[in-house]
Amino acid sequence: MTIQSEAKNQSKIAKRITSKLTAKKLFASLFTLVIGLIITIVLIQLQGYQAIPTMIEGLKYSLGDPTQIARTLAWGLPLCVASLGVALAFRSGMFNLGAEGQIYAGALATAVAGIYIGPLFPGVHIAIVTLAGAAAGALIAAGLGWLRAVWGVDEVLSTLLSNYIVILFGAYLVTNQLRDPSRQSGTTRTVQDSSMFNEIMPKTGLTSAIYVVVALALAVWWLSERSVIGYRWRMTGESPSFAAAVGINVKSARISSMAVSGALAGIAGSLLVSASQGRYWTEIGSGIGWDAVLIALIGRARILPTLGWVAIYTVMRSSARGIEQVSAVPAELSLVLIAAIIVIAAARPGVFTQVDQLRQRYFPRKGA
Amino acid sequence: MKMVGITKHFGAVRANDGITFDLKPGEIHALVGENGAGKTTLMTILYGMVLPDSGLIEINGKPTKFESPSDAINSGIGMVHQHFMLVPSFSIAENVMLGAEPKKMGLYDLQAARTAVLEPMERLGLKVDPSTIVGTLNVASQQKIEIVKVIHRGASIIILDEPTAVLTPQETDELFVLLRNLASDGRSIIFISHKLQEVFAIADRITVLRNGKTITTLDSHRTDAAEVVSAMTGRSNVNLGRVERDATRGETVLSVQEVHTAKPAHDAALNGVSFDVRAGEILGIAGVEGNGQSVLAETLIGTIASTAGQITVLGVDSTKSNVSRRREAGVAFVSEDRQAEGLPINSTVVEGMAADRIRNIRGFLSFGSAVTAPIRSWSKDVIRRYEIKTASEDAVLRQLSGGNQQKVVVARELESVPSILVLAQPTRGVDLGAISLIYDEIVKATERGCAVVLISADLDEILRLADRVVVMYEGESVSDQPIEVVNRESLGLLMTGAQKGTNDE
Amino acid sequence: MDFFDAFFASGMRFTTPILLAALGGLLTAWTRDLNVGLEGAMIFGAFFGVAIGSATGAWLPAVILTLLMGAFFGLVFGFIVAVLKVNVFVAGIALNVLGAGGTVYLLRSLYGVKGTLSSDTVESIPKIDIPIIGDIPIIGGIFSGHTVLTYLCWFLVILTGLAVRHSVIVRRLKASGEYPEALSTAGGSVLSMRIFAQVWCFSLCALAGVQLSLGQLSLFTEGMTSGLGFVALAAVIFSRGRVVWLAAISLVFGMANAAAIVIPQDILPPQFAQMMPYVVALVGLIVLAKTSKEAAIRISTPVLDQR
Repeated sequence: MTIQSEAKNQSKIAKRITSKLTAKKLFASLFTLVIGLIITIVLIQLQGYQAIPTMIEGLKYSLGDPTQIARTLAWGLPLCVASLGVALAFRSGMFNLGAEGQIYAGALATAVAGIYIGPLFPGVHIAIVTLAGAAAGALIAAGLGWLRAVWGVDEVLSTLLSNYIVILFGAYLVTNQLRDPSRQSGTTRTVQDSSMFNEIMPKTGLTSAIYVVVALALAVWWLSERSVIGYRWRMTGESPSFAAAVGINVKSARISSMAVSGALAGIAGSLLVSASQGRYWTEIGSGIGWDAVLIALIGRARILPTLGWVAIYTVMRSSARGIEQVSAVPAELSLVLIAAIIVIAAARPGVFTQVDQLRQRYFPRKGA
Repeated sequence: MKMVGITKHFGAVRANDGITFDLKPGEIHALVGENGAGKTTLMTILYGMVLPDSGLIEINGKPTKFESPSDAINSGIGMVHQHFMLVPSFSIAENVMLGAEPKKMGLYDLQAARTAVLEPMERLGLKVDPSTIVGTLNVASQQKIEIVKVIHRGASIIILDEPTAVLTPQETDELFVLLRNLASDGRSIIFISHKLQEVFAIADRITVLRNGKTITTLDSHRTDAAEVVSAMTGRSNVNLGRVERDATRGETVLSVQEVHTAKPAHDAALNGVSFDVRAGEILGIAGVEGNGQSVLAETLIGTIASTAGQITVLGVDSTKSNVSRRREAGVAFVSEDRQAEGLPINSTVVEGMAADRIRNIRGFLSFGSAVTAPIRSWSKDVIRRYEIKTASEDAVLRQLSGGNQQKVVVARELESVPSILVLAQPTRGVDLGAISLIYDEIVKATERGCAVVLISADLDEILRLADRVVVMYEGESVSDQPIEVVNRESLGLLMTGAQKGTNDE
Repeated sequence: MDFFDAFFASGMRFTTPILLAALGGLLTAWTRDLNVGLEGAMIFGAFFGVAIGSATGAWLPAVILTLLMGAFFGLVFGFIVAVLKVNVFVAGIALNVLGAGGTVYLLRSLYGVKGTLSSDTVESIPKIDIPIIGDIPIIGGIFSGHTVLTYLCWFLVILTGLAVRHSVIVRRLKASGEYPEALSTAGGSVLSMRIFAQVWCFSLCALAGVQLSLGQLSLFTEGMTSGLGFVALAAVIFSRGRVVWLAAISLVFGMANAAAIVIPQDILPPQFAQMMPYVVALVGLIVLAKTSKEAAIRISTPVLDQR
């Protein structure tokens, strides 16, 4: 065959392969969502409610009209930033499970900066409180990253344990030194107005923080997937021995990626104060750090899929609240679902392999 | 034993294609072929680890189906794998008994395990206590334990997969004596190898595989190496001798003096290694694996820090330099662990290839793009020049064959135009076509003045390429001689530590 | 004397759930399938212990049925991890989240209750007082007056310790983790070993949870395990797979817990007291990393590739 017709042949084959791949990929993701849907339907029916209308009510609650969409969006902002942070750390092989604690730390730092510093010009004050939150999270994460990089302390356990230590420490501060004397214990005073983001849609809770989050998302994507720094981090995560052998400083890659991861988690906590609650209290985190870990795992630490799953999960969580309002199905439905989804998504290749093997055994194909 | 029409696919790859293979009682039958020809696949099918897509197996005329290794073991088949199936933290007795543990009242019978092992160990010449932890033994002893395991289960057919890859020539002779004894007891032996010299030394018959098909079965007394090689490669006139090159030696570019390191997990510590390499010269480092070669490679590139001694690169003391600075000084490194240290196996070809260029992007530009347009077009060019078979520079490295993966590694290291190239087991698991290209590139590098340190457990490779040979034993460089005065036997003796050798200049 | 009696007694009491969960996790450490979801398994155990207890009105069926449930879910988990090849770390994290969210879900949907579940029909596990020993100061506090689960727990420590040397199954479990091909090529089943380890783990974690809920105040509170599963995980890591170390370290954690409670509030605020086990564990981790030469049991994290 001539070179040209060979090339044409190859590109035809390539096209057929890629179309097969995308069809397979589509089927694969549908598999997960379909099973997730089935589980939801079963759980709702078990409570004695009609599944489809209930789910529609839930969706109306989360996405029904612009106000609802804005509310759902606002709720998802801290989760988005935290998930980006966790995914970034995972990508460089550092399993930062301390996101929850770093969120609390960031929220606390922001609350303190928001209460006791200023009042200042709003833009400046917001910048300062956000930086405070980022710094708090970054310090904790970088410290744990340093322990791993230099002393070999397994970061999975150390970050896990750090959550409890940080949250309890915050609880101590907020019931003693930082307590708001005019309220029941367990919360600080309200931060000053100049440190809070402005609402851009009235009565929705959606603030100008959304611009910050979008900018962060773009920046993190670029940093992780395209930049040289991201290359170093990714190679360290992919194969530390390869990274070391080509001259990448593995220790500093680990510490720096943890620092940025912690900073992002800290910013997520900061947003909880400056774009939502206006103060720090003992339950402010509400499990967002754990959600972020799960989402980063489902998204396999790649930035774009992680963002996709943040969106899906936010809608799920919001809809679950809607469902709770019209039925007796608790809002924790979304937690149960997301945990199930990650297992299903991870089990899918295994399920397909088992089905294939069973097929081979009982209906063997002749030839290939 | 007979295997007829065995076919096996792994996805799109046809590993075995209608293979026939038979075995007579009491014979030693060698199965040869290039890397990737399908030898190991065929034997894993015989051992029940893998189910064939089609074909049948007959033992003593009876058709049998193996669904798991237990079936194979019950039919009297035993296998000694290339990577030993020994649990490092268990004792000898525990390892041999694994899967067929002796029981007394439902509990593990420690005494029975011990006594059952003593007799076969004696027979094989293993004079160690059965409660010795296997991880502490040397490779040849571990192999003997694998054979004890196989015999203990009553194997009448013994498969050995590349057994001599990890042995010195003397240990290989010992093994062959052992195998002949086993054969004369009535057992049949299948011997997989790609080393023709040994095959002719031990085998009665030779079956050649190529691209998953049986090419021919020959009687070893009635054929010669040339015929077998041409069956293995499909070509005639394949040069397996010395690689010709036109090399002029220059100044000393690498000087290693009395270098020591701490003891790493899976190798010996360096205990005083010294040698010099000149520009344009190929220094071969021979030795049985586990005597410090891996550590030496890592110390030269800088991933392991030395605890004493000096390493001088191009006249500059680089002992304390990190990897980055060593690479800038002109040291390049082809690792023996292609899939972990050599390449980021789950990333793309260009990411694995351009590591050196990306490393040079510093400062503010680190926030910029890693795979820039110039880097991308450079990688396309490299793929063309080194004949790397890949869908594109964005293909995932895992999808490439072993040989092509190694080409990516070699290309990356050579494109940095190094003054010193360290190669550790560069052609392990690589097909002959890629091997020949890699050797060509090494020759080209030396012709433009690069010094090459070739660390290889394959003595034939060293004999083909090196100008001088250093032998490593227990972390020391025990001899340094020009290629003209050494041969397999003399090197083999040094590799077993039999004589602290000479240091000729 | 009474003070020390109470201190040691409560130390033993705190140790039990940690040690039970750690013993469960130990086998998964041997098979290198380390289950990081001990926390999730425990909290399910705690919930179902109280739920079944209030339904049947007796503690024994509650304990036994919860144990059986644990074993069953262990089978499912083992299947998911060993046959469907889901990464054990991912599955463990999912288990933790499922535990936290699922128990709240069940609390609200089955009982319509928020926060705490307690009912009059729930019996707590009775404490066994050994007649003569119970009266000896200090020793009495240590050995007498505990629930049957505490005694079971220490019995299992001895059993497991002996099994390491004298049983076939422990060797096969360790081979499955350290070098599975060695076992599979010798004709053993790596799959069965991995699944068995998870069944054992879940069963013991279920018991640990029951001890927490029924063993003390016979009520269930949201989040009542409060990270004890992770403390147990730390104990498994510290022990490097050795039973004696596991028991010793769990005891240290249990005692730290007891000590924290005992110190008066004005010297040590309650939050710091609650922090104690985690701080001890973290410090221990650091000390371990700095002083050990052996390769530690590193929690196997997934390779996140899949392009």
